[in-house]
Amino acid sequence: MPDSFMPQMDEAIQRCREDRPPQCQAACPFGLDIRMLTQRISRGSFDYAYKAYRNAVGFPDIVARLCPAPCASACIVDGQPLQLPRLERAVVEYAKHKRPNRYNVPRKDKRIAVVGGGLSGLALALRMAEKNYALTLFEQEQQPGGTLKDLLPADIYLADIERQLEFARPEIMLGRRISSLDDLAGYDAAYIATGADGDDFGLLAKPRPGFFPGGSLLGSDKMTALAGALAAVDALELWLTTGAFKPQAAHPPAGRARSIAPSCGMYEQAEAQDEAARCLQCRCDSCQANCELLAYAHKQPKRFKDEIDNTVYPKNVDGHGKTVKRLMAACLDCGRCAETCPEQIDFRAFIHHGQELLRQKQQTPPAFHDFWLRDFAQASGAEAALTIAPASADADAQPNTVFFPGCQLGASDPRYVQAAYELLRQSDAHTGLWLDCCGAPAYWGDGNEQHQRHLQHIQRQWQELGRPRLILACPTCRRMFAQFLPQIPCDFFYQLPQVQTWAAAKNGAGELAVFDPCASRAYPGLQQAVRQLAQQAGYTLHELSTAGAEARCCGYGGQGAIAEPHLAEYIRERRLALSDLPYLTYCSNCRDIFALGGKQALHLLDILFDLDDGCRPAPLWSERRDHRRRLKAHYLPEATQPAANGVRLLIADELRRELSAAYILEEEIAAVIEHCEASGERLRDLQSGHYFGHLRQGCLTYWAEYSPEANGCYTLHDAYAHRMSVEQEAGHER
Amino acid sequence: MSDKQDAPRLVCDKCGLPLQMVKVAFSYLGRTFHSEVPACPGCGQVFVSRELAKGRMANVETVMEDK
Repeated sequence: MPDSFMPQMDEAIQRCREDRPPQCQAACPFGLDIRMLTQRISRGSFDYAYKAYRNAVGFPDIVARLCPAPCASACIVDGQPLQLPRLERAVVEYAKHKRPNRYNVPRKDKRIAVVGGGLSGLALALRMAEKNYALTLFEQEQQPGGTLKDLLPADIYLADIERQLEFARPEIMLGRRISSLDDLAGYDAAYIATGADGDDFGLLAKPRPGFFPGGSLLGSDKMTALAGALAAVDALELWLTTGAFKPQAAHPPAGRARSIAPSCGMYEQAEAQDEAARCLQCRCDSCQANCELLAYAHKQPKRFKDEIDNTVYPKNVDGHGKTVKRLMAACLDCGRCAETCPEQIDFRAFIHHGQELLRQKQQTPPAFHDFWLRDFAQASGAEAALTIAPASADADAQPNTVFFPGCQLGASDPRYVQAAYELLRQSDAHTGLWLDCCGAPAYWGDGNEQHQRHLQHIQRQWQELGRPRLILACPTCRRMFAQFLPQIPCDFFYQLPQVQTWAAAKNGAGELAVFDPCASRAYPGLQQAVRQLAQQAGYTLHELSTAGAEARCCGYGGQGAIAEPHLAEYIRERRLALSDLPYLTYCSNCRDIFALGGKQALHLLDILFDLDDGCRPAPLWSERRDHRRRLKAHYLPEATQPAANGVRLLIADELRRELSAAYILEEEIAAVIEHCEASGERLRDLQSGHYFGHLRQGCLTYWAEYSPEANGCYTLHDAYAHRMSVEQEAGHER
Repeated sequence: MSDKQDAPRLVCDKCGLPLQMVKVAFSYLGRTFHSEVPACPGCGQVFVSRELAKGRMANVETVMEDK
């Protein structure tokens, strides 16, 4: 595993439980793969289940009867633990082919002695003989099994021993007592399993290379002793092949046995299948279940972590392997990974840091976030940004407040901002207004440089406004302020008393499902206030499975839709499938994304100010920019900027929607045409009479197919863009 | 990128010349690619069709971005 560019991630990912065994397997002294066992039983493959069981326990008929089943105590199936002991009995009962495997391995020239023919000694003899070592087992009694004779009928355990040793055939010397280690001269290794009260030949006090005490001699219970013998095979082989002597400590004790419900007889075969099918197949998949990115990309966390490491610092020779830059750029920044991981592994921070390093190396494709950064520039620039300072008559008596609606609320619908601001001014005529962006797009798309610059701008502007308390309408703005500008006091619009009073006067009706935006998770008070407002306004509310602390992103977060458009669609469809009811939300991005998916979706401000019934289509990207300009013009007509250019376009509605879906702004196409007309650099299609022209803007080359009209307008027939630039064209790229 | 575009209908409005297939260099993320596209033999003005832009060109862009 490569060392990470973020050392704490190396440490964190080691805690990931992805490939840890489930609780039942962890409790089993044999480490039996219970998920595999129950899968095989549930589909009726008892022979295969038996094989897995035998491979783990050595003597299945004996263990199925004697194991106290700590696995069952660890099972978490709905308060009714899986009946694992019965399932094991069913396996040995219903398996038809029980003959052991016959291994064709070369004869080893090492001789091994096993002292003690109890379960532990037999198990080690079985495994080593299967590996074709010359093995001799010494048992002082006249039959093998040791203390099994006190626990099981002889015919049962002797049959199992006989069956499992059918092919391995170790030499078993019955009635032969070993009284001294000197009796074992000539053997290369010896396993001493003389039982709980047996002779340890002084080995426990003073270990001796090549002699391995094991089984109940170490104080283990019977099942642990057996499991320890199976595990001791590795220690013996290590000694025999390398000369390294690492005698086993007592095998880890099994988990506490739990009382099993009284048996009412043997399972029927079908019953065993049904019981096994109840197994939850426990596996930690918390991140997969909660992080849309990991689920969508089918990434296991450890693998994804390695891929991110390799993307940031390629380990292959040419440094040009496939990377996960696209997925990194598509992180929703919702934070559910760390919140829901039982080990609090924070993939979001890891991805963000990796993105930052890639940017420093100029290895992020600019096109992934260029559109959003230019949108951010418009929202926070001269075209749309605005401040109306609070004008409190007595600044000491009443803290100044300024409404900061965020960059997307007015872009979605300028009336949202106008109506909310009007209500604020009704209760305090001095309330200021600040149209700007909290900086989230810069944080997501450009990392430190633009983001830090914007934070400084916000800080400066806030000071110039007299350090007012900000009233926010967007949960993401609140998160950004809390994270990066905690010194600025903020309140949510929806939690103000005058808004509650206003809502109580409404007389709406209808049933709505509340969709909590992802950023609202940190603000349960906001979630509660929103529900109160909607209920006071007359609506009946229904909760989605993603309500409250489970709030999920609509797909907008992180602005990864250009980098990985299918992820955004995948998330939107999952959210839309939550309920057939119209959605009520309080993030304009959530509302517009659902509207784009054809869902009836209301913003809380729609019902508070009777603005819409939830059927308003999602505004196109060009319209969003116009909305911001109109909003500024509404409050500051004298400072209104002229439109980005003077070319007027005639575009069919379908083409307008297509352009918006491709993130092409009409003003960008107008700039192409303006350039072509001014420079004469255009191509003419002799057949249709249409003109073609192109212009590089930002990191895209835009093409327009158009026709001039008599009234000075231009009809746009088609437009598209590509990210490559044309290098050789009259010596320069336009 | 080796799409050959049929563009017999297109003429350069500036030079009045019909476009001809010319090998043109395109670059993206530090790499340069060559493709034959219609271009004006006089001023070099090129034409990239929607099919090329959204087809092979977009595919190469994706491959480059994933490297």
